[in-house]
Amino acid sequence: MSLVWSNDVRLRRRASRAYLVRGGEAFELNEVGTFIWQRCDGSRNDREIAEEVARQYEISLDEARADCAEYLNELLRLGLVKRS
Amino acid sequence: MHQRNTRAPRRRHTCSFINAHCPDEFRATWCVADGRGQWWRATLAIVWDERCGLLRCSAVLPIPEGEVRSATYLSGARPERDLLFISGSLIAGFGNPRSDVDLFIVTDDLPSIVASGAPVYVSGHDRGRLILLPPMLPRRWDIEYYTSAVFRGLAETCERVGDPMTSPQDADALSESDLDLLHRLQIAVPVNDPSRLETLRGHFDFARLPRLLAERRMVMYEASADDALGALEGGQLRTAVHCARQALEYSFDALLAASGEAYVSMKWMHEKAKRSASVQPLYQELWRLETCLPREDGASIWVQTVLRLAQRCAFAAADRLDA
Repeated sequence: MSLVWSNDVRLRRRASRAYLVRGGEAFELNEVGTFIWQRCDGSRNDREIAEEVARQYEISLDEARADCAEYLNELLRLGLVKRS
Repeated sequence: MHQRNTRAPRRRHTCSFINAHCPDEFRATWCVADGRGQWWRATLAIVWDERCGLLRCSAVLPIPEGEVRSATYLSGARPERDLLFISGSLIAGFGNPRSDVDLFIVTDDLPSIVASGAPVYVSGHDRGRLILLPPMLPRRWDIEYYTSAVFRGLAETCERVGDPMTSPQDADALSESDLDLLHRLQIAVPVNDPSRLETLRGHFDFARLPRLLAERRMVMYEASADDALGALEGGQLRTAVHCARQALEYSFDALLAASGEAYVSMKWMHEKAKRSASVQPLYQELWRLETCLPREDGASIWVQTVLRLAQRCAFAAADRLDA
């Protein structure tokens, strides 16, 4: 299943920092987090996102899968992305 | 022995204005005699857009010189005293045969123009408007009058306004019509005094306009997206469709602005998209969704798809603003 942003979440950038904003909450993203977040556009699943992370940051696929799984689970838990 | 030339005069090209304000942009206006005693004003704009790596070139529909002179006369302006320039969609390269012409007059003597008998509708003490319609002129002319105090005030506001990305409280310091006026000034073609127009332009940093417009559109996008979600939750499907469509257009216009397109009017969104190669993938999706309105039973899915595309446009705009 692919991952897609929740409709009520906005990406804001202030002073070179990226934040996910939902209502009164804001979550700061680091560079890798922003990279992963931007790929949750409904056209990629977990595996495809991990492959892109591995390529972009030149790390092993296993490492990318583990890091992405942890991060995406956190985004899912917070309701910032969902599966479609 | 001199031989008299009995042939019609050859076309003569006189470059009367070159915009040296921005090295990435060349604009030239010249007058061309068509051999039948008619003079035409034509504009060529060549813009190098670094962001999307495009050379944009637009040859604007010519406006007959005689028509410019007639409009100037009917406006009540005095070219030896006032600054006159033409701007709008024709100059931006979006015009069509029915487009009106926007003539701007910067004067410090608005009362004498009104006293001269020109039927100017004056709003406040520093601006006025006169619309000339056919058959008075071959097409509609929208004449706008401003005192130089209006531009001085705008220059002061522009100086004061910070970067909207780091000072969001400043995002509203310049209104939509302020941004529109500034962009029209940026692309304007002089009627009577190129150096005076350049001096006026010199008070503004036009490079900031796209960013200010993009930030404004992002705010509008977010409001419309929230409205669409609210309507969806409340079962107001048609309202949700309307607001989702608005949200998509605002976020796409934010992307266009973040890509350097500072023309404010939303009606030219599709024309702006045509000349920006880097937005094409998102634009094609927008066009597909906007031309495929849902039946009521499919409205909810359509709204969510549209809002997702709007989000992607907004993220892409944020990325470009951050770059």
